[in-house]
Amino acid sequence: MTALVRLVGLSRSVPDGYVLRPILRDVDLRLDYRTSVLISGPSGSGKSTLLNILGLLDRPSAGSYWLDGVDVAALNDDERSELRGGVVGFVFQHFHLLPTLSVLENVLMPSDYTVGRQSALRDRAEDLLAIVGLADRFESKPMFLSGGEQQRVAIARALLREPKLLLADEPTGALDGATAEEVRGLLMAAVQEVGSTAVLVSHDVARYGPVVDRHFTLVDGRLTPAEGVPR
Amino acid sequence: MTRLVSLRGAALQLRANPARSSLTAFGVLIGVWLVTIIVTLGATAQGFVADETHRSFGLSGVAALTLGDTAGDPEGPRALTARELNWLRRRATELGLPHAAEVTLAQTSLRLGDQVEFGSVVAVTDDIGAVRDFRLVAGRALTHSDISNNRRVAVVSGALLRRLKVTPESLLGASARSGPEPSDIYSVVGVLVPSLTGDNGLYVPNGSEARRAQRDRPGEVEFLVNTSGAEQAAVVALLQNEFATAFPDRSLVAAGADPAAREVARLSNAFVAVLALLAAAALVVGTLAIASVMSISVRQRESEVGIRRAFGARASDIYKLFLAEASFLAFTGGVCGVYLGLLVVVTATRVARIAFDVPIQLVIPATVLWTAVVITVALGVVAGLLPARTAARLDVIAALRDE
Repeated sequence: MTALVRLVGLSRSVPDGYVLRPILRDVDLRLDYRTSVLISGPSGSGKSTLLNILGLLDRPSAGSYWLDGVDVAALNDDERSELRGGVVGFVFQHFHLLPTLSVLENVLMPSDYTVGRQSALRDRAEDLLAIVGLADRFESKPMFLSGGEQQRVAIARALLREPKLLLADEPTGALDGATAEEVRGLLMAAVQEVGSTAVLVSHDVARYGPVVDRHFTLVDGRLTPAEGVPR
Repeated sequence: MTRLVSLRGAALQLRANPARSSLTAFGVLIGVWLVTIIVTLGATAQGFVADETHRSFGLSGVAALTLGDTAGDPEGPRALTARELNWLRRRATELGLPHAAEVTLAQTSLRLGDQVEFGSVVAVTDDIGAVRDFRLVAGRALTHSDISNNRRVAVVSGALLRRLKVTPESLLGASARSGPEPSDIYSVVGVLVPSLTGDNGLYVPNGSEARRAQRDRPGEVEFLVNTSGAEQAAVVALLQNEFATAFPDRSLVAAGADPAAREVARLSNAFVAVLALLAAAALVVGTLAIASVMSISVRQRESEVGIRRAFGARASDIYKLFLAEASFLAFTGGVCGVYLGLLVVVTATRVARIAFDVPIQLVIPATVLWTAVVITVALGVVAGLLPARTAARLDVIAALRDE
């Protein structure tokens, strides 16, 4: 069966003065459909870079990446945008909601870049907001929501188009303990509901370790299965 | 992303930042507002001048031919003779030119009812209708019967009416006296529409006045030819040359409404052009305001660009979004500018009509105004090009890290 994500010998280096500083080194990864993965590691280990490459926001310096059976190296910028819009959903640590749009408009924002089925997407946005407990806040602006509520909007937005791959970068990193726990529960339940493959990047191994299928650590740009893989 | 989505996104963005949007659109609005006022007032003023010229001289294309310097004439200064007038009539008929003759006496005092005004008595012939388009505000025009029967009836000119400051109806039936004799009394049968310029006198049948002219002193006879533009100069030159050949001791001079009207139009065009240039400069400043605000907007919304790109927006979608926003601002400012400009002009012309009794007719050059809006939107698009390109080329990862 084709894997949703397949990385082979993937590396990423960035210029640092007159030298190239390696961020990711020879990363191999295979992720099947409907699975969940936690990637943990110290700051600066390359977690966000890996997530950016997985989300087609960044390009590797070397190696190969197949996403949903497509060799992304062969795609131009527009094709990458199209594939990203169709397959990937993002949840960011700092929510990244558009302050000028209402809650519902924020969730619907990805539909601007989706051809057809606008009314179905609107129904789905309303359902998702109901699932994350914000059915009565459609018209609110993000600035009037708490951090936990904003992240719930962000989760609904990420899942609007039922992405095959959900990338979450420290999804509860900006929330307090109780709220983080609540949001984590919602996120995992929603991912389960949609049937996405979730790649979670987090320091919080204690919170996410027990609820994911696989756990990798990224240290000094090298990705390795974590000791004591959960479940 | 469809154009509709771009426009919707732009509209949402503008709605979300009302102060910024309003101020930017205001810059454009002022420019278009000025253009609207200047162009509309210019067109209205030109229409007004043309209308007044028309009212005053009958038709703007009338050339009046009179005798020029007759110092060498052994008989001294005198009017066009019947023979000369007949010659002119015959040539004008041969050339297919509408024509008429009128006797214009020197200024004299006119008593209408209990008021006395200086004015002239314009004695017209039966064919006056061929060159003058008299528009009446009250009563009737001189008829064929009036003229052929030398009735002592008169039509009051619009300019004289303005000076008398009475209602047109009150003049109907009033007596107009141009001299001490009983034969100098006319009964007013009609009043022409008010005008600001032109002869302030009485139009009376030629025959009735001719008797007075013979008794008193020779009047100045004008031969009127209805022709205009470049043709007028050629026709006048032809008649002058032929007249000089037929009557070697005599020379015709031409005076007409057309050169005056042309000069007025030329001056008003130049004036409007200068003001329009100033307004266009204001428009350019408004456009620069859009460019400036859009550049700031791009910097403030780097994060938004990153988020939209993360959710599938192509670089061209971002480009269109910002371009739509600039166009939207320009269009809104342009349309509001036109409407507010028209509001000012409509109000001004109404005030002129009601408060100052200036019979001005509003002329709205719709094509020019819509062109102004189209040019404004085009300028808005141009103003948005660079900021939109900057937004489309933003580094997505840096933009997302920005927040």
